[in-house]
Amino acid sequence: MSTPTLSSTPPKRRHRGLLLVLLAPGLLALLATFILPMAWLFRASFSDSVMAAFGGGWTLTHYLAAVTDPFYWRVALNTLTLGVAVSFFAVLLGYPIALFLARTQSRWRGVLTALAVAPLLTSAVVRTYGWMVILGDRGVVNGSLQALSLIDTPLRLSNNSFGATVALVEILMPYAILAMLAGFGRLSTQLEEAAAMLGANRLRVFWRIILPLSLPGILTGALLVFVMAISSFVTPRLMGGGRVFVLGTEVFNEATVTLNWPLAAALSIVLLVLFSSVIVIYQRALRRLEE
Amino acid sequence: MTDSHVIVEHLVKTYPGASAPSVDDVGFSLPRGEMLALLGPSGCGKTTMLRMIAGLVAPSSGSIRLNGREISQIPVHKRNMGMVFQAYALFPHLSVAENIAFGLEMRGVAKAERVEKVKRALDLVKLTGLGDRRITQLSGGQQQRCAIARSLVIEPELLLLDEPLSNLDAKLRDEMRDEIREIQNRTGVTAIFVTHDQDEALSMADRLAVMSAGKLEQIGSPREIFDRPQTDFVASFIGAGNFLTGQTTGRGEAQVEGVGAVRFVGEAAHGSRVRLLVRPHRLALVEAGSGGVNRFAGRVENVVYRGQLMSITVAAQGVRLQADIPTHAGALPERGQQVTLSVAPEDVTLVGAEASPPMDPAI
Amino acid sequence: MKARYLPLAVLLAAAGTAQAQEEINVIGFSGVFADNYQRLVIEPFEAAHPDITVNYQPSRNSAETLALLRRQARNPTIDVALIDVSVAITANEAGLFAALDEASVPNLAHQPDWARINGDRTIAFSQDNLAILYNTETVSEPPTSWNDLADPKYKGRIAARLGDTRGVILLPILTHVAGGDYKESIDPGIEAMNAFAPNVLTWDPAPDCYAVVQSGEVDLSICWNGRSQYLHDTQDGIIGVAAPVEGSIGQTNTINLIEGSQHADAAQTFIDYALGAEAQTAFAEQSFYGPVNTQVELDPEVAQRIYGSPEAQEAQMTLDWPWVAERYARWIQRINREVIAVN
Repeated sequence: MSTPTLSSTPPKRRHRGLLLVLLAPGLLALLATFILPMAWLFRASFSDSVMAAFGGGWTLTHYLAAVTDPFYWRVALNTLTLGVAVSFFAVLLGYPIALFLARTQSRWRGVLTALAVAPLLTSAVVRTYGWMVILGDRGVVNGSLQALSLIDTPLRLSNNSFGATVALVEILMPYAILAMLAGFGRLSTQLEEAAAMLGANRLRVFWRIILPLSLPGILTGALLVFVMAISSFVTPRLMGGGRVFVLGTEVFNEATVTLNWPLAAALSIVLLVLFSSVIVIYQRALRRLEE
Repeated sequence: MTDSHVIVEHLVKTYPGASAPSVDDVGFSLPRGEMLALLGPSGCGKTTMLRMIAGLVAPSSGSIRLNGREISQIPVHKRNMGMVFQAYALFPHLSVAENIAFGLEMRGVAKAERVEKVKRALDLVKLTGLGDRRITQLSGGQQQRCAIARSLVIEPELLLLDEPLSNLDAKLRDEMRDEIREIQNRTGVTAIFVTHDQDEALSMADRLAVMSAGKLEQIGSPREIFDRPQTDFVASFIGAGNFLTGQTTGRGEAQVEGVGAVRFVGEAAHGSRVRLLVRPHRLALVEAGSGGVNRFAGRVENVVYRGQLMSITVAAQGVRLQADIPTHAGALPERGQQVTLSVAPEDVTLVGAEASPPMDPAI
Repeated sequence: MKARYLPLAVLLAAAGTAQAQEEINVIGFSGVFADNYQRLVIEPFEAAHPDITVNYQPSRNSAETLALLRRQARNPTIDVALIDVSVAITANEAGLFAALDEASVPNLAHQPDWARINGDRTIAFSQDNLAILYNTETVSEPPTSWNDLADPKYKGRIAARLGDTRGVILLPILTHVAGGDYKESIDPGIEAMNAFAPNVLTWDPAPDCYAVVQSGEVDLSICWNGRSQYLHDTQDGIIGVAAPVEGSIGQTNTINLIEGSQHADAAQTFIDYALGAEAQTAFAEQSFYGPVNTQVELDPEVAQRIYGSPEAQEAQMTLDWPWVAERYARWIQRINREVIAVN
């Protein structure tokens, strides 16, 4: 008796060819815009000449400089600190908003979600300038405080890492909210009702049910914001007053001011390694949580 | 009825912006240890009723008394009721044992005692030894047992179940139906459950409340509901039925168009219009031409074999009657055949009649 | 060929050569510089040399130009590059520029020694002095000395981007003011920077060092003289330029012939004109960039606007650019780490 063929047999040869043809445009685009530039970056980081990826020999001096120079350790530390601070506050401030949006039954839910994410419609540069106006020495905050006679001289809120952090938190918060919203899938009002019926008051429902179940969303949001914060360049540059030395600004300086492309490439690779490690750690934590 | 465990009076719920109340002046009482079924079609308000008793929805007006004490102002987490949700609502991040222990934790029960109680609860629902499993590792039936255990371990005043059998397949449904009943009997907990399935309601409940469009149509024992429907809705919702409309011509007799005189049992004003209900299984095949009351002769239009019985549709004198004939009784009718059906007057129910004492001791 | 056709052939050939149009591509700075250069150097050149067309391609900055030249290295379409001196020296390390031929560029003889760099591969043609800008509305007494920057009355009121060429130029200036020699040590310069560092509001003014003075966000900023003079003229004089008495050093722009250019002859003709006194004078008068050609004589008013007071003009300095180029990255590092990072 003939049995029907199982679906686990590999696709016929012409199907595989067709598959390749359909994937080709995407693959080519990926090659041109991502793989090749990354390969050049990698090559450039080892170059000993100003021609970077287009010539020169091979050397490890740039990596050695990046890894042994205490200034770059400080830069790396600044970067990671900025990343942690920004993701902490972005998640802290974004969590109530995301939670509300996930649980609300209001018919304005879609509109409110769009509003929460609307800042992303404006470029980060424009929003950063907005923060310069708000936090500047003669900005909105200082102006109001002085008008209320609460301070005499303006508070230094911008042109330092405080300003850069505040601006980054606001700029990246919509990403945190979006990520958390997506990650709140396991929450449901029925679970909260069940907990309440079992004797849990609002606080305990939050602490024992809502918070543990929203943890995957929180971690995803934190990771997303962290990665964006440590690779950020525009906001630390504009809000930092030249005082905020993070990997993003250092790479930019090496590439455009001192024109040391190989060093800039090496620093970029270091940044890449840094946040790849963070992603790996995060994956492990998430896997353990979902068990 | 002051010794009733649960008394609900004039309960109303109107949602803001709605044109009509979801629950419209419903009241009932439930003695301790009994199981009440709230039965009705989708949207009849039965779930809203349950949620108001649970405290998840605030009533617009009316009162809910438990042990004589008004509870409608008491917050959810202080009502000491157990609820089994339709989708179980088990906490995915906790194990089976932790789920069951949750209510005990909230009540500050000491760890050793919690462990003991959880173990007994697992035994009660036949999930012994599965305490360490994750919720996702349980089958549908096991999840439900876990949900039941979770609500019972806290020894609640009242057990509420929202469509407990809807999510189960047919075989599991029968199994769980018996089990839930057995657990409820064993623990003696007063229970209210919501269902749209009349078989469930009839077989599990001590008391049945039929609801429609927010109103309580009829409340009574399953037998009363089935045999003596008070309203058209109840009569047509519960069980299959043949309806005959006629005008009374005397005591226990009405003239039905086409069919002629029909004898029934029940009080009705002379000359008034009545609706009569004849259950299909009460119609029997008789010899043509044999004398007697309530004879309906006609041609068999359709025949459906159902194993234990056969449903036949007979066009009899302008009325279409459905009869369920037991299949063990000799020759079975065929389509096109001329037959005569008959029904005893005691089995012709006047819809809306008062509940009468049991008719047939053999039943 | 029959003899009687020979004169006709020669005539035609001569006419043909005379009519052959050559195009050269010049890449240089954008904005006002481009406008001025087009008007004051390119157009007069094209008028004098109708057979050569000059296409000017603006670039955002020297780093971008270098990037473009690196990419084109094997098959260049650019013939002439106007580029910052330090970037030019870097480019020479990669062999991107060709040495100029003294015969093709006779004006080389009129350039000072310091301006002929890397074996005539890079020739300086203008200097834009570092100056102190002040807001004429908020600053009643304009600064006169570099040391005025450290005055406590300017606390939090200075903007200075020093993590680039500006810092590299300021260090020798401040070292000199402190009595030192930049070739020996720039420690005095670092110290002097640290003296006024507490007054600095931002080490990276946004959008640039001119706008922050114009808006009144800061009182002083350290910036380039050429653009400042232009803004002074066009923005109702809100921006004032103070050229300190101790003199200054100019950001030096260079003109370079690309190695492998297809039109090297025409390019050198152009370079020769650009380095000539006529072009240099015209450009200096309009752009307020200091000329380099030694034959140029400036009107006193123009000189004032380029270098400052006669005292400052006397004190004007130049740098040994190849020497500085070697230390460029290191100096910027020192500024970043020893001044900015601690302030």
